[in-house]
Formats: sequence, structure tokens, C-alpha cells
Amino acid sequence: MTTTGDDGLEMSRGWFADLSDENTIEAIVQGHEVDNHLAPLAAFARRVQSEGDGQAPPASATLAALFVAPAARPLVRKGRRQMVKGQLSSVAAKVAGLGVLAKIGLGTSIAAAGIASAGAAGVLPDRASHAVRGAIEVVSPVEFQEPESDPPTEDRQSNFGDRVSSDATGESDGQHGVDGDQISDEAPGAAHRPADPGQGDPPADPGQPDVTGQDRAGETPAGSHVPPSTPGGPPTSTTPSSTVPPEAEEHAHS
Amino acid sequence: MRRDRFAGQFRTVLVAARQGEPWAFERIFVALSPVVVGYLRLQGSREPDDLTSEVFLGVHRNLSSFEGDESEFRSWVFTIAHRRLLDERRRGSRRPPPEPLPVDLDPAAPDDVEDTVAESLSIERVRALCERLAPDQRDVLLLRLLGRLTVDEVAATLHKTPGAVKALQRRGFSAVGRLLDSEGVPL
Repeated sequence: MTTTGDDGLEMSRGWFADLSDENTIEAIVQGHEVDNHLAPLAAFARRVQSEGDGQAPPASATLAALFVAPAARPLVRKGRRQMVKGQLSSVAAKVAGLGVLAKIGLGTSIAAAGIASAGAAGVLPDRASHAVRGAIEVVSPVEFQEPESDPPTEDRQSNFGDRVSSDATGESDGQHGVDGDQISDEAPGAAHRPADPGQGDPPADPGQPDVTGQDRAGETPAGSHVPPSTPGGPPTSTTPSSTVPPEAEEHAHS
Repeated sequence: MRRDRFAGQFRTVLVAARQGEPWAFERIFVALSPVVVGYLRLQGSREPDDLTSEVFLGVHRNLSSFEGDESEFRSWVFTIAHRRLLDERRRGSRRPPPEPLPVDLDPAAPDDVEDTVAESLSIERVRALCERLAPDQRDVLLLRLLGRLTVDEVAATLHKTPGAVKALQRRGFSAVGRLLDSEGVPL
């Protein structure tokens, strides 16, 4: 019988029909004895299998290293130096694998980051630092304070606060803390203070007895409407004694 | 054609290799690398020795994840080898065009046909035969013959069903027979 298809030619031969039997194929694979007409296939199988009977191929350097040195156990933690070295090697390998344009871009980025860091740290010359800081302020929400270029004045002495008054420490009078109105000559604004703060114009004493706002009401713009006197009369003291019952006042004195 | 390449000590060797013993991993390499490099060579790998080293580096890296007996270990190693082979092909290495088969075979007498054919089938001729097989058929035949994998193991390695593997091995042997027949080897 002759059939057509992928194996039509072989279908006309007896050995193809034998291949339909799984046991026949297993016999060829396992090297068992087969019918004579299948001998070429058995020979082919033996020849293929003999490819695996040779010597071990040479191992690569990486693989050979595993044969002579104790292998790193998966759970053994690497030392920090080993990890850093490994990470650097990994980064170097990745950089080496980049294209030319990618390397140029990476180098430019690193240089820009370095300049920006130096500018932010203030280690560049004034003009360069100003330019870098300005650029950073444009592209980011970061704002830098302008460095103070003026020399320290009398009011901004650089060593202000270094020394503590003996009055404050208690050395002079045995009492901690400043206990008077004396201000150190080193304090800011000392040059503008009068020699004796207590000698200036005294402020009006709001607690003058016998003088009340009612008495000076005539000096206000509405002075013409002020009556000559109030019905009850102005209070003469902070304690409205007239409102206190006499018995209560006596009780308080007793 | 022995399948046991560890002389019954596979378990001991595997445990020692997992513990990082150099001798144990070298024993694994010596036992299985010849069949792996033979598989890669007949598959047309351009650098079979280097690729074999890559395979066993992968074995070493993943040794702790393996569980099974020697047969399963062998299947596992060939799965790695097959994947590395596919990686190599994806990297752009091209197989050279198949060379024409030599036709210097003399017809053999019926009684000693197998020996005669075996002697005549040089390794170069076997490689050329494998080159002419369909890739799926070649994968199945080489994993079965060199890897000594079962139908089920080949199916797992190639992500195919056992039925598909059986069909491919039958067609593969048929193709080999047809090629040998066309070159003058009586079947």
C-alpha cells in the first residue's frame, strides 16, 4: 500500500510501519536488539549516544574556580568590602556595556551633578557659585540665602555671646541672673543707647492720683459736650469704696 | 549507555555540592558535561564548550532549589542546557548552512549491516543528518538519545504533551531513515 503525506514514501516501506510501534522506538532508543531492516536507525542512535561518552570539555575560568575553592554558600553573608567591590564591578560592567552616546550623556550628567553640589555647598568662587545657585533656584524649589559680604559691625560682632557676664553667672554678687537694668556694652545697639537710660524724659505716670480721664475730657474734640460734673462724682481711688456696704468694710478691717 | 553516572552515590554528591564542596560539584560536571556538550554540539551550537560551562554555572547557582533523584536531576540539567541553547540562538549566532552528505558509503551485506553503517556514520555525518531534521524532531531525538530522558521528561523540557513528543520522535526517526536511504544506506 502506498499512501501520500509527510511520510508517504516511508509508508511504502516496512520499517515505517514498525516505527508506529512504540516498543520498537524504545528498543532503538535503549539500544536493544531490533530487526535487521531497522539496523541503520539503531546504528544512528548508537552513534548519537556515543557523542556523550567522551571526556568532559574544558571548563571556563569561572567554572573552574568553583572546583578548587570552597564555593560561597548562599546563606553566607558577604563582607561589606566584598559587596562594595561587587557592586562597583557590576556598575562598571553596566557602564562598559553602554553605547558611546549613552556614555557621553552619563558623563555629562555626573559632571552637572558635581558642579551643582559644589555650588550648593558654596565651595565655588563667588561668581560661579552665584550662577550655579541661581540655576538651581530656577529648576527647583530650593532657595539659597545670600551670603553676608559685609564685615561684622559693632551691632553684629562675630563673637557676640561668647562671653557671659559675671553678673549673670553670679560671680559678682553671688546671685545668678542679671538682677538689674544694666546692659552689657557688648550687646547689640550699645552705641545707640544713652549713657544713663534712667535720665531720659519720664513717661507720664498713668497712675497719678487725683487725675482721671474724666478731668481731661474737656481736652478732647468732644470737650464742649462734657458736663461740668458727673452725678456721682469721679472715683477717687481704684477701690470704689462707695459701693461697699459699711458693715462689709468694717468686717474686712476687723 | 549507562544512565547512572554517579555509581549510586548521586545523593551523597548532591548533598555535598549543595554544601559548597568543590569536589562534589566537579563530580557533577565530570559526570554530565560530556552528554551536555554532545547535545549542544549536535544541536549546532557555535561554542559548545563555552555554553556547557554556562550551563553548569546555572546548575551551580540553582542547585539549592533542586529536589529529586538522579533521573530528575539529569532532566533538570538538560532543561537548563536547552534554554541556554535557545539563548545562544537568540543572541544571533547563526548555524552554518548544512553541508551535503558524503556519498562514499558502500552497500553492506544484510548480515552485518548495523556494524557497517555504524562504522560509516562518522560524527560529521551524524551532525549533518541532525542539521537536516526539523528543529522539533531534532530536539526530541537528541534529548531522548543523548539526554536519555523519558518521553514525559522530554515533554516537560520542551513544554509539549507526551503525545506530541511521541509523534515527533516517530517522524524524526522516519526522517533519519529517509535520509539514510537516499544516501544509499539500505533500510
